[in-house]
Amino acid sequence: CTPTVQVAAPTDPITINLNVKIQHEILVKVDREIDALLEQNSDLF
Amino acid sequence: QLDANYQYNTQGAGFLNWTLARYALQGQTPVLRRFLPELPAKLDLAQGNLTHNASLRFSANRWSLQANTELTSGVVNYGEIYAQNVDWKSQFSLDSTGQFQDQGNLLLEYANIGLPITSSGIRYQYRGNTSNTNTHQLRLESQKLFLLGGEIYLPAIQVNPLNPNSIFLVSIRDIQLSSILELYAQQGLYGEGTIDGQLPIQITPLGISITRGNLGSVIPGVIRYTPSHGVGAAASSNIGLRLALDALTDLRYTLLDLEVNYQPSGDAHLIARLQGNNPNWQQGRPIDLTLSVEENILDLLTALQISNRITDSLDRRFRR
Amino acid sequence: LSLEQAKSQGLVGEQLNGYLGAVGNSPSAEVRNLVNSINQQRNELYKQRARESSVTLDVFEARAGERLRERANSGEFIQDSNGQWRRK
Repeated sequence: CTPTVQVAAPTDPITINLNVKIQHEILVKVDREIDALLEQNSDLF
Repeated sequence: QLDANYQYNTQGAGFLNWTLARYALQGQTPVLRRFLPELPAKLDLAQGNLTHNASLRFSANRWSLQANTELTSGVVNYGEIYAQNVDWKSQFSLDSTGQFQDQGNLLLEYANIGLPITSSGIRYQYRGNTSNTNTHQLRLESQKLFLLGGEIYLPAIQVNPLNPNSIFLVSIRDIQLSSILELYAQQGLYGEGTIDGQLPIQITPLGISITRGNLGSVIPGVIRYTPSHGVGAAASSNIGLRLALDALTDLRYTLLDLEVNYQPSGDAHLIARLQGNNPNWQQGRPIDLTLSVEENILDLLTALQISNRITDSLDRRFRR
Repeated sequence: LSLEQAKSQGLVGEQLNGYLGAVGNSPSAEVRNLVNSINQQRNELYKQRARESSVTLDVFEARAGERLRERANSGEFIQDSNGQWRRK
């Protein structure tokens, strides 16, 4: 019999490391901008 | 309306009873604030029916007060937090030595702190002496909170709210990964799976903290993320991000292990370890993905509260 | 007539959309000028700050309106969620 060579998918796992920093900026930033507005323009608000 | 009757004898002993029949709370918070100045500024008792009766017994040198208060079908706002169908029943006593006790039950059928929560009812007892804050003690019976498709079981705890120092284990069951990911409202982010585990909650005068809480899942699940244009572009320059995004296009995980760390400031450090594969990437070669996520949970809740309210008011304006 | 006086006399109030509104249907010329001048200045500020926080103008206005109504003193007029004037 003739040996057949079969390329099996490698079985050792691919290790992946990823650092993610989630900034919930947008709406929190809106509130900070409004705070600043209220402080600096008290005659308008 | 309020009716009262009283009686006292020559030795100066007697009693004073009063009863408040069903008092509709519609926009009466400013009125209540005059009676209860210590009501927190951010608290607004928007709706509900209040009944209250009390009796004050007094003699020459001592007195004691007993009061029963009940709120039914209340709607309560506390800053951006909203609660509906609030039922609260309280038995309160206070005497001239300063000894006080408030015992009762608070049921929140629906509360929204940015995400909806239901509670099975909070039975509490708060007692101590007004002259010495070290004697204050709040006891909460065990209870369940229902959120994110699952539930959180809180054991009975006893703590001095003015100087809290307590550690207790909270167990988490059937939290849905899909509900968690929906909070982030990211286009193209989808997940399915359940999360269980236990979190060691520590309460100190600084606030709440969690150190190496362990959640996870042995039930297989899936995470699919097809990033928006911006994220995809960033990946071209960062191999780690590139690999993770490729893996996450259709990650079928068999094991999810999640370590939770949380600080009183709201900063959280979550380490998610996923083992599984992606059938159409690298011929389904096994993947061992570790995601270290840093975010501020309080900012997340604030953002959710704001966006809930903004979408409400925008909807209303465009509907008119 | 200052903004504070106008508010305490119930002539003007904070609207849902972050702008000032005259209360009642026949405001005096003085009240109308005050409202227009303040709203024009607010609009400038909102446009600039909305850009800086990368949100659309109407999202910024809606959030400003909410904060201003929350912050209004009791007794002043504010627009409730279906647009009617009511005293806080």
